[in-house]
Amino acid sequence: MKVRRANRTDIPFLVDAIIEAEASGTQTISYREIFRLNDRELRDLFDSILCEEIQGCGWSPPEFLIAENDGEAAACCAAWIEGAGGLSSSIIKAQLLVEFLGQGKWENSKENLSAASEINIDRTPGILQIDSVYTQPRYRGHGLSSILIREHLLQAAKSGTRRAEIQVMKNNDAAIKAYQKVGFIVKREKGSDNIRLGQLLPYHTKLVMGRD
Amino acid sequence: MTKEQIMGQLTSVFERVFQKQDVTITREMTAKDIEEWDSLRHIQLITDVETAFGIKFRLREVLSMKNVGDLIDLIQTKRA
Repeated sequence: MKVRRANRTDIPFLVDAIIEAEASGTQTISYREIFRLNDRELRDLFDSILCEEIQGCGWSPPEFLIAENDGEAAACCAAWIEGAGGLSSSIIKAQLLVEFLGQGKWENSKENLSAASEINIDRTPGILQIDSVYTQPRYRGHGLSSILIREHLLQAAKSGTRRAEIQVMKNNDAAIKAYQKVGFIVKREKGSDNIRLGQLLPYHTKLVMGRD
Repeated sequence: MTKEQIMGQLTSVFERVFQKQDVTITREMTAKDIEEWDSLRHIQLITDVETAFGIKFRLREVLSMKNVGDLIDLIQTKRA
């Protein structure tokens, strides 16, 4: 198994990873529900965003590490330093979504966006953010996500960033256990009893797990 | 447009977007300085600035702005 930085040729796999990680083990993919997209539109959206290679929110190929087996991408994980370029990752993501969905789609989805934002938790500036942790089903159970997270932590530590955060839905037991194994503990949680969230997000409560 | 004229018009846009009166904007101001400045308001702000000044920003221009000063400079360049 080889670990390497992702590049543009990995984009189809990274699109899978972002979508699967977003579903958090459920059938609900927030971006598809919030913006009322079909599966093709959803894939095209993330393909376009990744091609743009805007860093600072985990939606750019060079922010991903990939675990590769015999030339096949088996797992991946994104990481970035929050706010390193001046803007928060949530603002960068919003700007990318407006750019590639179009202003009209964004405006028409404002009620959904507002509901989904009820469990938004700001990421901490200056701290390594781990996101889009994904392993292809046939490679699961071999600790690939731990290897990739540890490698991100190591690389960030070399540049002086030792603290890290991961946001995860509270119902994603497998992910929470995997992150605990790498030293993350639950730092904060935010939930909402808004009934609409059940249609928009994989779960109504989000956790922030941290590693000091 | 002078920077002072831009700042005056920009203040009105900020007051409307953030639903606050007597907003004092500075060149150094960032999203961290206004509690309500989240991603939804940010998009609203950029859209309203484009409408108010009759300009259109490119994606990389918007993402390269570090503070309100950069926004003012970019508006002035686009209006020139």
